[in-house]
Amino acid sequence: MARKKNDNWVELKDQPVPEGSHLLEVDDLKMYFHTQDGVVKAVDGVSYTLDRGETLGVVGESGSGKSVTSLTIMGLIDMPPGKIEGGDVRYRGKSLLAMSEREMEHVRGNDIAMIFQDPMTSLNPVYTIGRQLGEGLRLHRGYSKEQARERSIELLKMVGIPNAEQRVKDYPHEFSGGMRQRVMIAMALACDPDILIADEPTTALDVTIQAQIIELMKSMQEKNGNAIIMITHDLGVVADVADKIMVMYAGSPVEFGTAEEIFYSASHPYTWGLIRSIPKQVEDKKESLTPIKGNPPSLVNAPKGCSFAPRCPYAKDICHQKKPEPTYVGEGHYTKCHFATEPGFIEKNAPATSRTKSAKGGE
Amino acid sequence: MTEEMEKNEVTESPVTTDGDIDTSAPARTLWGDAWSRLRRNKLAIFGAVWIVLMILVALTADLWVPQTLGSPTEADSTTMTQDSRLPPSPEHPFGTDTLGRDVLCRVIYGARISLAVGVLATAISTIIGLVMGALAAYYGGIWDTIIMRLADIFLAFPYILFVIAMLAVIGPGIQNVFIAIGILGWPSIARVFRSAILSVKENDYVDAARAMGASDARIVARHIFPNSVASIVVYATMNIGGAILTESALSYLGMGVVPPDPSWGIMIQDGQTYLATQPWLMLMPGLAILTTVLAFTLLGDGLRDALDVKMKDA
Amino acid sequence: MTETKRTGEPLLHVEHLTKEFPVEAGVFASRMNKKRVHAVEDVSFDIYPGETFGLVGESGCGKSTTGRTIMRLTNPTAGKVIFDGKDVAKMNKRELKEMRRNMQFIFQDPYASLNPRMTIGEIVSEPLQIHGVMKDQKERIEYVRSLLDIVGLNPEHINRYPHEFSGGQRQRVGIARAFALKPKLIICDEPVSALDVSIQAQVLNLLSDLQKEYGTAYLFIAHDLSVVQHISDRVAVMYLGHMMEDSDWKTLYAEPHHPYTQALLSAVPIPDPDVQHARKRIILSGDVPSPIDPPAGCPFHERCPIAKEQCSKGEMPELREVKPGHFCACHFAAPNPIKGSSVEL
Repeated sequence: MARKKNDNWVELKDQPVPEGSHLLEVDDLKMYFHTQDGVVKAVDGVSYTLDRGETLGVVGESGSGKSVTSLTIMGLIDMPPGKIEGGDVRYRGKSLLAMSEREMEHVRGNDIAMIFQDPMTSLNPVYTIGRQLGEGLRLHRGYSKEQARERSIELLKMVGIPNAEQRVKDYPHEFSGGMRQRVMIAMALACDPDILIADEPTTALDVTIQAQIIELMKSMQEKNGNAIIMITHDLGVVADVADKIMVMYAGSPVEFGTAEEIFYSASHPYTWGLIRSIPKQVEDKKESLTPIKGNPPSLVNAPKGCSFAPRCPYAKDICHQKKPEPTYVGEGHYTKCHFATEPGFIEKNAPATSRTKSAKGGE
Repeated sequence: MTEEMEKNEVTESPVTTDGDIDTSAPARTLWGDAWSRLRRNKLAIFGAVWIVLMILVALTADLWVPQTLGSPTEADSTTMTQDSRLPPSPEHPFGTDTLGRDVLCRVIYGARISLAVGVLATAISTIIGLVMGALAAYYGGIWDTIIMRLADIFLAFPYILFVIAMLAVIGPGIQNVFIAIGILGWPSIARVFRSAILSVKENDYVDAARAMGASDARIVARHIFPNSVASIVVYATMNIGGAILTESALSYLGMGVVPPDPSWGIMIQDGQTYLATQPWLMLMPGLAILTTVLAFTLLGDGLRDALDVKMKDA
Repeated sequence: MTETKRTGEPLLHVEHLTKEFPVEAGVFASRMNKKRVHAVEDVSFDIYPGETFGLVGESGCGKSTTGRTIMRLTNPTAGKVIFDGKDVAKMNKRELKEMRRNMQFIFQDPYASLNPRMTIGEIVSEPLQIHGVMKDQKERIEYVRSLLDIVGLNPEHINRYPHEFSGGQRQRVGIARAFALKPKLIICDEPVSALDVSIQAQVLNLLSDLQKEYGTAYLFIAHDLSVVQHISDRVAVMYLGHMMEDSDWKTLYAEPHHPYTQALLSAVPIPDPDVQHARKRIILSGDVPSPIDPPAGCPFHERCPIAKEQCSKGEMPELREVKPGHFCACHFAAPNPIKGSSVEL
């Protein structure tokens, strides 16, 4: 493989993951914005681990910090106004926060790639698709123009774009929204990254196109074995793809666990609220929804106690006074709620799931 | 303990925790908000203060200037030679000109002319521009085509040459300067207003008003005008600076204000011969033009940010 | 329950509604350029008093244009829109104003739909002023305050400006404005798609509660099938300007007769991993064709897994009644027509 000239950089991707650690470890990451109006705690104590082949779903509403967390990991936040206030991000055992900008440039796109929500604006309208696809390869891999073009065609075929030989010469405006998102995926996967961060990749697309893109991402993951971080507000999408789920609220994770745990034994009132807010699929009788009362908090001057307390139907005095620490309710399954370990709290208040219903029906 | 105290302070801030609006704070009006945003922009406030100061000095000039600094127009033939082109001194802060007149005095009276031309000419262009822009944007179609092509034709000529040509026809003099600058300035205002209206028209609240059954007149008066007027305020403010500059240029070329009236342009023209020996003759009116035009631009810039509703502060 | 509502005269009767736009706007464009966007093609449906009629489809299917044409925010190219016994398409200015007392609109974008220079009190009372209802200012203010209270806003905020509110709160202002005249029909154009899930549920509940209270009918336009299912009594599916299927919600979701409806339903990911992983999904290939140059025959035939030769020829298949009250525009209309992959629940 052609290597970038006079580059003695050790390819991080080829390094083994150190014994006892994970591909990506985010450890109590804190990133605050220092603005005129005060400190915005955009990322406030995010922790998770990710291995190859896994998909992490990050769910939360707008302003919950789900996108900012990933941008922080990628080193794409302007500092200032942003500032890392604590924690660490380790990729194959090496801290990303300690890396120089030059090292990070190599990591971005090569080791960790990203795709964004809006396929209309993430492609540069003045260059052909082929040129934009090849750019990363020429930059990170030192490909020649010819090699880059060949690989671009290969990539376009891989993401299911018909007539790829002709279409590499086309400009972005000649592609539909779904096709552009395919190109974005091809571009992100061009350098065979370890981790693909997808920030609301299907939100701007229609359902039938969304289904295509999700299938594509799943099949690419099967083929390449990369990890995916899927950031979305849509619990349906997470249910479809995620192995692990992090539920975020006001800049910090309120619950983290496997998809099973989050959907069938959730233990945080916010997670319950989200599940209850979604209209259910076909049932005989329509039940009215149980929304979460109130509005999302402002991240400036966040409440002193639990950030969800003002909207939480179960909040007691302690919730307004003290920030809850992560409580482990299962192996690797943590929740930031004071009452998670209180006997009967979860059983009494958690919403019914398809599993609890069928268990009841079976009895 | 200190940490605890900090947290306490935080919870006492007026932003309530559920993201709701604090009811105890007084209701803020839109213009009040704009003013508070403007106040934070130091450059804009500097511009505004400078403009207000200039206006005050210009308005009150008759009350104190002739008494302390002498007449701005008439030269005293008896003392003319000894007072000619004196350097700045406590008695004559900006020095004197060839005819022995005080330069500061002439700069102050020049401000009257410059400000008057700037404001009045801009008022004329704005009125014509608003009507033309509104016609083009609201009725569209053939009206739009005719008015906008006409504007394009106006804009295709070098502006200053156009004004000179017009003055050549109607003759020089201060009133004609108002008229020429005013009449020829409408196309750019019309364009700004037209595009502002067109973008406001795209908003759902205009459709919402139509869906409520509102008449065209009501839609224009209640919805379109209040939302597009901000861009005109900004543009007109900046335009005043431009008009002042144009007037100075015209006077400099001898097409504008007729001597002995003290226009900044004329003063520069008078002074340029002595640039090497008595630079204040040119420098002082030059500085006056620079600071005034700059003040209007800074204020306009500040207004643009302050009047933008989207730039809401948390 | 839904069937009992559909008796008597429909409140809104839409018949063969068609709306085309010239591709380019401008003075000469319409004459020189014959290309037209076929936004809405031959759409017919009825809405009965007090019911919610859901209109779903992907972007560009013409669902929003249908709503705007019914309100006559844009004029129809052809077809009839009979509201309360009168043809909206033929109304003059005065009749139109009178009609708009009884038909209101709720917009998608809670930011663009409120005039930023008006207080929310002024916004909510504007329809009252326009129609000369409640001339007494005191009475009007009291009424506006009560409306704000009903939609869950603090009446004390009557003098505040829209930019001080969150998206969900602004949408409540829009709802209060739409209800101010107690209209018979409200066209809701994607009223919750710009909102977060938890806020979306609040607004949906509010819309249901208000409907129960005032008996208002809704034309609920949205792209989110689960939201439409939740709120609607009847649901119609549009594709490329055409009505593909129209039925009561239960049948449509349980037994779609049109392959497009079936594919659409199966594409929506269900927030329940067991269900989502167990069911077999139909992934449609390709993109929605351009409405400027729609395909001949059935507009869906290029992507349809069960299309036969006849689908690509001639006219669009007729919207026919396949079961009482269930209409479908497909030559092969049948319960879950795409076999081997029915939507399992």
